[in-house]
Amino acid sequence: MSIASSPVREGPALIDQKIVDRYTQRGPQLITMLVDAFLEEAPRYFQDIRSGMDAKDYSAVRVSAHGLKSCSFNLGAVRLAEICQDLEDKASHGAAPDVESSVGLIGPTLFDTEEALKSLKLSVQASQP
Amino acid sequence: MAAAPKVLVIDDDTTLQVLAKEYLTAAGYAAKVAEDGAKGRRFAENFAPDIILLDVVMPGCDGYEICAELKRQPRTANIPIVLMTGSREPDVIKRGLKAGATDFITKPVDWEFLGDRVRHVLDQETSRNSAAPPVSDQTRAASDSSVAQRNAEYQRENSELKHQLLAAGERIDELKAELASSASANSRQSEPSVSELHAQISEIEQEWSNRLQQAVSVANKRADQRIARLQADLDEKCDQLQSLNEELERTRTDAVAEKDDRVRELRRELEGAKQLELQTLSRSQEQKITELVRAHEINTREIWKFVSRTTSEYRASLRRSQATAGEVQRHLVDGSNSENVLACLDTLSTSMVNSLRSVSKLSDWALFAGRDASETEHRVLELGSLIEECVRDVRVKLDRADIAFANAVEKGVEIAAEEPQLKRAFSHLVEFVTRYAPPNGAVDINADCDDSGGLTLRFANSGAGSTRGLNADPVVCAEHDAFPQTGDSHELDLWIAKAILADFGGTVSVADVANIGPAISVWFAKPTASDQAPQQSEQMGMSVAV
Repeated sequence: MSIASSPVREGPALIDQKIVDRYTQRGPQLITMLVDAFLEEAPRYFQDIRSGMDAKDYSAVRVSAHGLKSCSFNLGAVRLAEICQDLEDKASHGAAPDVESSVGLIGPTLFDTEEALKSLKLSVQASQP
Repeated sequence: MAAAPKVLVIDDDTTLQVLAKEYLTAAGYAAKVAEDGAKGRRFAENFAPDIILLDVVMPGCDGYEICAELKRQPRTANIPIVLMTGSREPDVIKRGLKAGATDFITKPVDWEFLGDRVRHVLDQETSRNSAAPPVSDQTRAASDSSVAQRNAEYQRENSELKHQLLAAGERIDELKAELASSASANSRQSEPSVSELHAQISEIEQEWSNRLQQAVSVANKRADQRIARLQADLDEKCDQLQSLNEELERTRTDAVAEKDDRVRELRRELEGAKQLELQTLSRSQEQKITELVRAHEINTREIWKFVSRTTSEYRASLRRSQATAGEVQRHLVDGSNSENVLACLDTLSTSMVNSLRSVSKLSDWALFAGRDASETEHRVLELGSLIEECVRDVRVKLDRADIAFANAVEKGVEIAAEEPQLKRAFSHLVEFVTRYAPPNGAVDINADCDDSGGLTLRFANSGAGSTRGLNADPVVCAEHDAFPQTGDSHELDLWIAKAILADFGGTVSVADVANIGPAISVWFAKPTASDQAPQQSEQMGMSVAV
């Protein structure tokens, strides 16, 4: 199953297919559970990031970016994970303009990643007899 | 069948919880997940896991604090805790060790190897626990012996009490038996005595019962006291044990941290030593390279000096060879005697040998320098062949020249014998000698042989070193190419002498031979009676018997 047909923006790969393939080899349930978990918690992390930004609470931004990074890596969403790592680093140093610019990148990439994972989940379910 | 090892995963990330459960279960573990620190602490106490995987960064709680707290609680203190972290902060390990972590896993987690990693930590923990520290054994042994001692005392007292009770019981039985026998024997006696005995017995029984109760009460009190003391001792020992365990854990943690610090220090030292060694080696190598380059430059300069010197020698030898060859050619052209030609040829050979030597040296150098030795050798051989050919050619020409010269002499003699003008010249000569030669006098005859073959004879009466008499007009012979074309008058002298003798007879005695240039002098001396040999002089002389 390929996700190359998903609408993606320029840059590094959105999803690491090797990681996804490892999960799909263990059966369709695992990838379905993972995608569902991601689709539930990723937006929450993103909201926490934005709340932290509004309150200028960079510690909260850092923690939420760390969490979003972690679940992104688990799903092979490497592009989103890299943006989150960058945000986590910048939030640790506390430079407002840098943090804002990184936060600005998360939204579109998160959207693309969610779309790609939804397509993946559909294709996995469709391939089941 | 052994129960599966229990793993508690404390992490707020739902995807990680799903993956951890999936992979740990597949690896044979019983996995439980908690999404925050509070639930994690609760599960740790109730689930009693064999190992805890704990996330460091979670909203609202710090993984380090959770780890430290779990280590403080007696029920969870001994559970190995593995911190999972994707943080890039430099002091993660240090903080983790200080909090009491056993090991670390970096995120993103390699799920395929998580089971092996957990197994490794559990194995390490097992081997660490089996090698229990000696302090606990001693404490336990001391505690056990104290308890045993107290138990022995208690049993001893208990046994004494039992004996006393048995003895009292037996006495009561005896008294009852006595009472029974005295009641039967004294049945006719007054009833109040039996009642009194019964009363006495009852009193005794009551007394013994009281005593027994007292004894039991005292014994119980004592036993309770002892138990309380023992319990207090045991509690104290447990506290001591707990303190020792905590101290041990701190010591272990400190030792591990110290060991890690030492390892880092040693690594730094090693790195520094490696860098220093590399720098030293690099400097040494640079020096060697510089020396090699310098040596190479010197060597190259020396080589070029050698080449330049050798080629200069070679050129000089070639020039000498060319000059000598030119001389040889001139000698051959001029008709010089072969000795001169041979001398020139020797010089030429020497020059050419020197040239060959120079070329050989160049060839050797070319071999050493890795040039194309075959080409150089080929050229050397070529040159050598040319030189040899040249020498052969010269020798051949010389041989031919000798032969031609010898032939020319002989031919000249023959021709001279038939040449009328020459004959006339010699007639004049003889007439002159006959007429004008004083006894023992000499006549100078100058003979010039020019390049075109003309021979000019001049006669003069020289006397004993003086010239007097008639100066004959020069007689010019006809040109003839048989005359030897050479500037060396020696052969010409001989030739003339032979010519004269062939025509007019007489003897020739060669007083001396000297090369006096193109002009020669021949004198005729009338022999004396004693036939003395003519006086030697620098000029060639011949005596003709007139």
